Amino acid sequence: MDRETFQSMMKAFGLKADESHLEELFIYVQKIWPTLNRIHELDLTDLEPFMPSYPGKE
Amino acid sequence: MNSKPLYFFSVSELSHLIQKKEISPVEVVEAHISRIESLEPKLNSFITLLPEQARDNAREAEKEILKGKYRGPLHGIPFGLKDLYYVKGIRNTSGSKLYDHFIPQYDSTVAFKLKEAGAILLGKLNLHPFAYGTTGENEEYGHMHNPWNLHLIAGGSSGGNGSSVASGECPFAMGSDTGGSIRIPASLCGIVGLKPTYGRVSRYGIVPLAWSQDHGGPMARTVEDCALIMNIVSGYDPHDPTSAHLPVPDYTEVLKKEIKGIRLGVIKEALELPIESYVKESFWKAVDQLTDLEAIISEVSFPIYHYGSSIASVIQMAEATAYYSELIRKHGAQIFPPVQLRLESGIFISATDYIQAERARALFYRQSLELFKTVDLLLTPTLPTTAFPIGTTSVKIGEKKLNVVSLLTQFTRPFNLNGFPALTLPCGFSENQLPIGLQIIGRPFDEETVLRAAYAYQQSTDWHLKRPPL
Repeated sequence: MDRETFQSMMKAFGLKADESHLEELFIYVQKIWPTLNRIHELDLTDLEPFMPSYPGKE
Repeated sequence: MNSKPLYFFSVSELSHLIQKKEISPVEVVEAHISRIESLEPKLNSFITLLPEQARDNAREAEKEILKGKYRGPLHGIPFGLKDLYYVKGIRNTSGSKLYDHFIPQYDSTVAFKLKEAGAILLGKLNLHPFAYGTTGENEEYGHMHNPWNLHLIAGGSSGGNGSSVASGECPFAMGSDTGGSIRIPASLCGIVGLKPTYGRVSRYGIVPLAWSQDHGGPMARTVEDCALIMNIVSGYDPHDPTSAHLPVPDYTEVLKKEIKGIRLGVIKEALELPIESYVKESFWKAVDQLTDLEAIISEVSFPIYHYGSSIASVIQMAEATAYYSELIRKHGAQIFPPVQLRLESGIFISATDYIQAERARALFYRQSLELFKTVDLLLTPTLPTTAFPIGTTSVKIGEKKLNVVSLLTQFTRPFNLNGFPALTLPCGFSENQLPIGLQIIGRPFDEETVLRAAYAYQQSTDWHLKRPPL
């Protein structure tokens, strides 16, 4: 994620913070992508989102 | 009577003595209050102490019992609640000064059930702020300390539960677990912790972190005590939309059945992750012990296991940020910095990412169920390491340097994702006398088999009888 996208998402969420915190968050957020990419490795064809059934409440 | 101090009696032992009127709840509560007074400066297990209320309740319990109005096994037994279980009229901080003066107007279902059972609340226990962390560090209310070595973490997020139960401040405590927050401190402090099946114990009135992965459950020094507590806190609750409408068995009844013929699966992929050699050694010794009890051991392959933590993390980040969005906007700068970063990072999980993670979760769930066609229980170490110094951000195992959150949740988080019951109990000690945990995982709503195997193992070993050097 580039800085421009990062800043526009922060703005859309309504988050205001000082520059040093934003820099720290920008670095922190870069660590999320490997986690997301792991999920993209899975073949999810034909799978619907997990919908737990609550026993006894059909 | 047993010669150990009263504060180290188990719930079951105290319960028998109270029922027979050999001791009074007043004596029991006083013993624990004294223990708390002497240890709190070192451990910092509690955020709010309720000694006067506890004394009043103990006197009331004593009167009732003397009049023959015995309510059951928890009558007159003191306990602690993690400070995110609502109790009407008692402040609930969630481990953050932002809620220092917040007083709930209703009881969580668990608090209500324990109150009805006659259990006596000693206080609200310290936690990692908002339960969003694995170490039990809290700069605002003070860090929790491990009773086995005060320089080390108690674990989190239910760190105050771990330290208070292990040290004899409380005979039991109720914790919550979204990625391992019951099992991590239980393992690091050398006690038993059970994360029941999702839907088994009501979440009503427990401050959420991630709705779809939050579980409430007991922490105690014995498996039998966890079973006793489960008998009280389990069951359908119309206030919790994800509560299961299933009958609750008597969890203590199955404990004494032998485990001969029970099929135990060791997850191959879990053991491929970084693990300290002494933890692995204790784990295999525990497996041997279970074999001696005539359980049948096999290795099982769970190919999606390595994806479990990633899937669970994405879901947790999105849900936690959604729940705390107003707080992040208005008071972000006042939140404990590592928690602030975790909460803010969820902003960047898109709706598509969240749904993809939920699709992956469906696959994970399906493969989890498949495993149980060939085994009755699964086994892993609870944690890859023992407790480490407060302030540590990464740990080196072999050549790998690992972030403490990923490291401490590598065996626990996958079972928040599928919601299956998972229990930790002590299975050894490191050379420097720190506890090591064994994790036992069962089929959905089969806490009975989990507890039965854990009980059989605990009865054949004495790890749970060791006490911290305080």
